[in-house]
Amino acid sequence: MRAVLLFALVACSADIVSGTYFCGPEALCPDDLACNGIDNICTAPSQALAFDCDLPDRTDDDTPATGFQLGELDCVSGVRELQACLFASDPGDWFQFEVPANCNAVQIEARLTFPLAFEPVGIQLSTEGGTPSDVDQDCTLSTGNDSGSTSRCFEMTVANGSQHAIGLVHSGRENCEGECAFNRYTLNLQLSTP
Amino acid sequence: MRAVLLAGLLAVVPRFAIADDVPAPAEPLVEPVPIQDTTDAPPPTPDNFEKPALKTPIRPREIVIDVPGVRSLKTKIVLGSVLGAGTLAGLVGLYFHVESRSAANEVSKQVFNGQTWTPDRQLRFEDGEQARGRAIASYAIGGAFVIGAIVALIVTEPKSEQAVIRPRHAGIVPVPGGAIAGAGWSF
Repeated sequence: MRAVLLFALVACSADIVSGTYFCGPEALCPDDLACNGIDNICTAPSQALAFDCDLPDRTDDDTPATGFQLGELDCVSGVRELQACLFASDPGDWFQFEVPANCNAVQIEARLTFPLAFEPVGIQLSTEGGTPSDVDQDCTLSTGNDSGSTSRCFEMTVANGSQHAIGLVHSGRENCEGECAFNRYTLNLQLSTP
Repeated sequence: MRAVLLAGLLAVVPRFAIADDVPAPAEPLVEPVPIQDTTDAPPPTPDNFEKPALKTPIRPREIVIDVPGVRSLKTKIVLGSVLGAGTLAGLVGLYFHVESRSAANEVSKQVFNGQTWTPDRQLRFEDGEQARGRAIASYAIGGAFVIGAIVALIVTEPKSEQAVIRPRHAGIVPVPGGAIAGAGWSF
């Protein structure tokens, strides 16, 4: 009888094996597990590594004026996929591009995807060298947050022949009080007809 | 309690019958009565039959009976309350047990399938742990009550008393063709 009672009580404890969940916001993991910085998966603390990135940071792309040049895109361009990391010490990654002058109507479409585990990445836009502003919104077609990642989107109709810089910057929230103020991201950028 | 039981054993016993287990007396218990020829003689007067004819009174055995004790109403109420409290605590424990198991089943995972450890799951996990603690506490309290009730049941077991029934009166009255044996007891 005692054994049955003991078994029943033990069976009431959650059994979560290492490596079965993506980390939640702010590196959230079940008790006794830690967020692995390499793949943002909850794992045994002894196996959890610090955040790292395969892609080196470009040090000269920290402002709109010095952003990485994507060149001129077509009026309806293919999707440019940009993968990089935003380190704690990095103020932001900027990309410059130009809109063709001969489009009937054109808009910028951007979709930014990043792991939930670390600090969310924000999207800023600077037009014609102006002051950057936050432009990211919730995506219309959301993939949900149950895949370890989340997305932010941005759509804006722009003028023909205009020049822009899109920046991926720290959002300043959900960063473990600075302990996880970094992230990986994938930016899909294109021009399309609105 | 003292009562007097008068039991009349209306049996026609043969003449000179001797009670069980009574050692045979050295002399006859009953005075022999001469056989009378009833064909000629007039019927005897009732006095001849209703006088006890024992020379030595028969000493029937004492009757010993167990009188079971009875719990007082107050004791019964206390025992019932303790047992009820134990059962109630057990049911509360069962509720939290089921709640805990449900939460544990929801968040338990053995294989990676791309899900994220969200704050909702964390909350469910903590709720389950809390319910588990409450279940253990309730089971412990309920068990203590039930064990207490069982111990109290044993401790307060009323003792049975032995009552001895002592025959007070016994006698045999000869009647035509036999005798009437009667006895009275008190206890």
